[in-house]
Amino acid sequence: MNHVHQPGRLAARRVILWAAAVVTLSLMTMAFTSVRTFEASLAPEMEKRSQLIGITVREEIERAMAYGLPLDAVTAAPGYFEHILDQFPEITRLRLLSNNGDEIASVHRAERSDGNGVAQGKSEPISLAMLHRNTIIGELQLESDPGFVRSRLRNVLLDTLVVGVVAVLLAFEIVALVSANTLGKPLDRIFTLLKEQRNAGFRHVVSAREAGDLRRIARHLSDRAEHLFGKQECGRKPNALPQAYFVDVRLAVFLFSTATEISGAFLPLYAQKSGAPDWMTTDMAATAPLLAYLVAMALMAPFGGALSKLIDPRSLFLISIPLTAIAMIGVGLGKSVFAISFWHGAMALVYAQATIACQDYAIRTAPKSEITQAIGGYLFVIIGGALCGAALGGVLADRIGLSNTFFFGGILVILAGLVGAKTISRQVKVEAEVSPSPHTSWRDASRVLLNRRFLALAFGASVPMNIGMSVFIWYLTPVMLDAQGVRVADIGRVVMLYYIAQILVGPTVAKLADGRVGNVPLLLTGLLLGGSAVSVLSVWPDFWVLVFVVAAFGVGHSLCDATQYAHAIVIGEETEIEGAGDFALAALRLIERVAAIGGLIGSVILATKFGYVAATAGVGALMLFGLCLMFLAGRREKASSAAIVT
Amino acid sequence: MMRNFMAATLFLLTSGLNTFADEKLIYAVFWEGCEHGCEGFLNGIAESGFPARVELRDADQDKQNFPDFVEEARALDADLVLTYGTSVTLGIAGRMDEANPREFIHDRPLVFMYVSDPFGSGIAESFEASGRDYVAGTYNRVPEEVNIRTIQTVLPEFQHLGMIYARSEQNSVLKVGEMALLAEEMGFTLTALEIDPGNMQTPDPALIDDRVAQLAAEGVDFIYLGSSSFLRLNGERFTKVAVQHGLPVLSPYEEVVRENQALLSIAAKASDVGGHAARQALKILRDGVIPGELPIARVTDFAYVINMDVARELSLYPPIAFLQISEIVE
Amino acid sequence: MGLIWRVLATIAGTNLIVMFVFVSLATLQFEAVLSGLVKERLEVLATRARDPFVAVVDLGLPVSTVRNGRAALEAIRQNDPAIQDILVFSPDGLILHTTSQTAQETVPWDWIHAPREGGAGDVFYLSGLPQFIVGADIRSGEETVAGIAIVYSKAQSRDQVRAMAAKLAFVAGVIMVATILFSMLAIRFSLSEHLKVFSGILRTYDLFARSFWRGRELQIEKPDTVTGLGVSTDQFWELLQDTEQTYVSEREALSRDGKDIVE
Repeated sequence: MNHVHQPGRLAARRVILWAAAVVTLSLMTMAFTSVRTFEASLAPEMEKRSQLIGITVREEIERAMAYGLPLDAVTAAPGYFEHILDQFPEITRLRLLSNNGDEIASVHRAERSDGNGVAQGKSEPISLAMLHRNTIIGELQLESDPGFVRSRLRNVLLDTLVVGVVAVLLAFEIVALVSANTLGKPLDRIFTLLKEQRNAGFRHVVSAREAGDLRRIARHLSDRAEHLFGKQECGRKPNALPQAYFVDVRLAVFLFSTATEISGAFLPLYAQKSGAPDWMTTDMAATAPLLAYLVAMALMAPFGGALSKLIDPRSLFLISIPLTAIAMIGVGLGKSVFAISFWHGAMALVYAQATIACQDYAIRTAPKSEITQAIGGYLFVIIGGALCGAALGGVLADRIGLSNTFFFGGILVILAGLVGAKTISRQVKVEAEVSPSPHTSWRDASRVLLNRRFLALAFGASVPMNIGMSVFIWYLTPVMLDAQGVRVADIGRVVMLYYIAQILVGPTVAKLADGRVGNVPLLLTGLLLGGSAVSVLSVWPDFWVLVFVVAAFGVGHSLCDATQYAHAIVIGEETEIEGAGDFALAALRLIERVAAIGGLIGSVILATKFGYVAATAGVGALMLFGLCLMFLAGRREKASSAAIVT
Repeated sequence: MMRNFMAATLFLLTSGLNTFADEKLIYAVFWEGCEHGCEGFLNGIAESGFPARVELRDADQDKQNFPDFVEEARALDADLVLTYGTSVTLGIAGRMDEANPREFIHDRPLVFMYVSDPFGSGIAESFEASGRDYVAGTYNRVPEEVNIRTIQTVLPEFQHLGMIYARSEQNSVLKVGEMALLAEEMGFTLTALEIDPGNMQTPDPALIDDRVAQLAAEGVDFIYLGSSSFLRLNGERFTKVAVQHGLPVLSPYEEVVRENQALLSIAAKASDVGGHAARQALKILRDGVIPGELPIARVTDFAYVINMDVARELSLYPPIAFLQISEIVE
Repeated sequence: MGLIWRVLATIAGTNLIVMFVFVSLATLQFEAVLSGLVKERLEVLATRARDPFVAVVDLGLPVSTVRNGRAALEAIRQNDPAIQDILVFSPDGLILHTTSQTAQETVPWDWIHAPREGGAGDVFYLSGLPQFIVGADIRSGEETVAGIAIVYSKAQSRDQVRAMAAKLAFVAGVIMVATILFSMLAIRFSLSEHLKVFSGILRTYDLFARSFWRGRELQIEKPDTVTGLGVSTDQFWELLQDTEQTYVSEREALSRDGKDIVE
């Protein structure tokens, strides 16, 4: 029998999937019912505006007639009906009919298409009888564009689905945490303790509470350990069995990511509306916080790993909590673009540290054979949290205002801290304590930077993909859609496809990377998919093509995201230089963040000179170049006995 | 006329226990009878509760009466003199640069009302102050550009404006001059006809018909009444003839729309004008303010009055948006 | 059975939390959409109410000069009883015309400085606590010469939102009950292997404990082998036996080393 190393994880995983499926099913049912209920409530409200337009126009005409104006004089008045069409774009036609149905006057708007190139057509006309001195003297008819009502209902549907996705992601994290604690850990703890005691290690105990249904066994084993340890160590009590899963930190990181990304939907707008000096254009003001964020992340990249070696992940995460909350409050109170950018950058510094600590936690708690899955799981949580944060922020900002949404985010950060304090294990030590090595030399480790495969990974995969994300997703997609007349809410939904694609595909990719496929083929596939998709867009910049490309790029990036970090660690470790794995990871983070900043600035200049399409073509070409570089220089040499698949 | 004398007398009786010694005398001179502005003034004084008696005098459109009024005001030792219209004000108060101010009221406070152009006619210096210690007044006209734009709103194809004026009324002459400048600025043609050339006295109303017919023959689109008590007093004849010739009239006097056949006006309510004058008088008599320190009180509320019967007859209707803030007369 | 109840409690608890989050967000979303629709209706009224004043401004007169301004506004106000007031105000906030009898002379600062939106960028919306405020600028060319604002009661909208929240909460409750019932069936199926393994482990332990309490000399056969979740009860039985032996040897070693052991 091939015994699984951590049977508890396997046990928990199966339950997580079942439980998540059940909760998802109930949420989807709830979402569907909500949409139907909303439609039933809102559809009559949506009709009211067109009705009201007709009613006010009719009243004006009836009042004019009460003053003595003849009905035909109304229509003779130049521009009256045309003015109404100008004021209310959804009105497509206005007609004034006499009592016997003859048309006295009529104006109509030329057939138009909506921003997506679909002709709208006519709706049922609204008919209003006109009275004069208690006699019906005619009829006013309005036709409105049904697209207006349809698009609103569509928005309601999409927004409800987004709320559903937020709830599903939250449910998944809660189920994962609780299932692991209920099923996974007890089983793993018992077996681990048994194996330790079999090898004469009686220095750990498992509390009955932590053992769930296996508490009797836990009491028995703990009793043995307490007995012998007490005698060996003069009455001292043994410690709790150190055991940590990445799932310990998932919910806390999810909430933390949600909180910090709560302004995702409106930060550029918030910065734009704040005070800015005259020399700063509105575009500059809008992107200033984003640039501050990227710079802060880049600055933190080389140091994050180092701090993790000095302070254990739990402490590092908890230290970040109040600092992040303060920074978010600072953004909320910011009255100028400089203040907002400063506090957002400060938040990014602390966020970078906290998330690097959690990424290290994921790597250290995962079995060696599942590093990519661990990193993938971490990215799933970060991206899922970002998605939820942006969606939540969008809903909240409308209701409680932009500044208050930041304060809410601060509260959510504290909640993340409370959850983390409860769930994150103290047992994941500082790396120096776990494997102290007096022989670690950073100068030696830095030799990995000259490694052919590392360079191919960094500049062939990491740089193009990160430029693709910062330039194509964060900059070009919104501006190209805006130029096509797409509304802000729809732009947000298109960008969300990128994140959703990553969430959906990420776990499978991570499994394939740790399994039979390996990292390099996935990196190559991701670059090919991303590069081809973006290049197609530069030739065919249509709305639906853009939507497809965003999703395809999301899938492509997902193929490279966790894989690149895992591959950097592998390359570092294969050099057999102490600490090279960590160094490679830290260096890759720095390179990709600097690339994101440089790429963003470069593309703005390129787009200003040559247009968005040219900038898109540049990004696509960069990824395809990266593909070639990765293919030629990124693979292990064939002379090695190892399989081509890494 | 009789009614108003009785009102003034009633004043005397209802002022109750006040002695003649406390009561102020206001000597009011009108061009032709006590109309809405006059009533507005009387009501304004009455409602204030201030003990004042108003002696009304009617010039009966004759400038020869003015020196007698000046003498009588002095004889009665009026505490304040009220003048109605440009002609009366010039006859009682004179111009600012008058060579012999002693011929006019100069020794007691004077308040003017219904003067269409106090600055052009030399009665006052500016809106900030009259320029004479003893003179205060009111102003109740909309800028003439507003009148032209109103005409353009009602008749988008408007190009040619017609006016009739009398040399006996300095205000009407001034107004024509003002409109001539405006015509150049706003790009329309002005045809202004003197109703009775060479006649410095009140013209014969019968001449109105010919002048209107002449304007019609000249091809005017719209007639503007301008500033003329003569045309106002003969409003029925004037507007009727105009309508007969298919010509709409814009009047600065509301009553010409309400009671006659002018198409529309943008004007202060006459009684409001009288009320403003009453407030100026009270500031001087009751509050002791020096008249020359008072700014010229400007009426700020205007009514847009439209005569729908005339509109129907002429088949000329204002836009609906305009109708919504107009007072309609039928 | 304990395992099933724990998992069921997990699902029910998670469902409760996420349903609460969903209903809360969905209610907020509904409120946002409803507010948007109300604002759109009020925008119709504000832009129509503005027209006569724009006509005055186009003539070159200030809106304050309109003598029957209040009547013009009142005609619009009577369209909807939820409209509390319609005001026309100057660019510095002075109230020029109003349908109410308020002694207030100026409008709040927010109204003047609220961001302008809409196609022509001349409409503003504010959503203060008890009321919607929708307004429009009255412009002469590019210059704003006055503003018009409609004050609209939120009472009806609040009632609609509460009704929707109640409806959603009811549906959530029904779905939760259905989920729990469904889960009770589904869990039995999905946890069959877990139950088998856990009960196998516990049975194995019970037998071990019995053999322990009855004395080591009494050898009890190990229970039937149960495998699942990557473990086997045989492996567990062996671990138990080996661990107990190690414990006994360690204890004896300690007593030989002079540490008192109380049996």
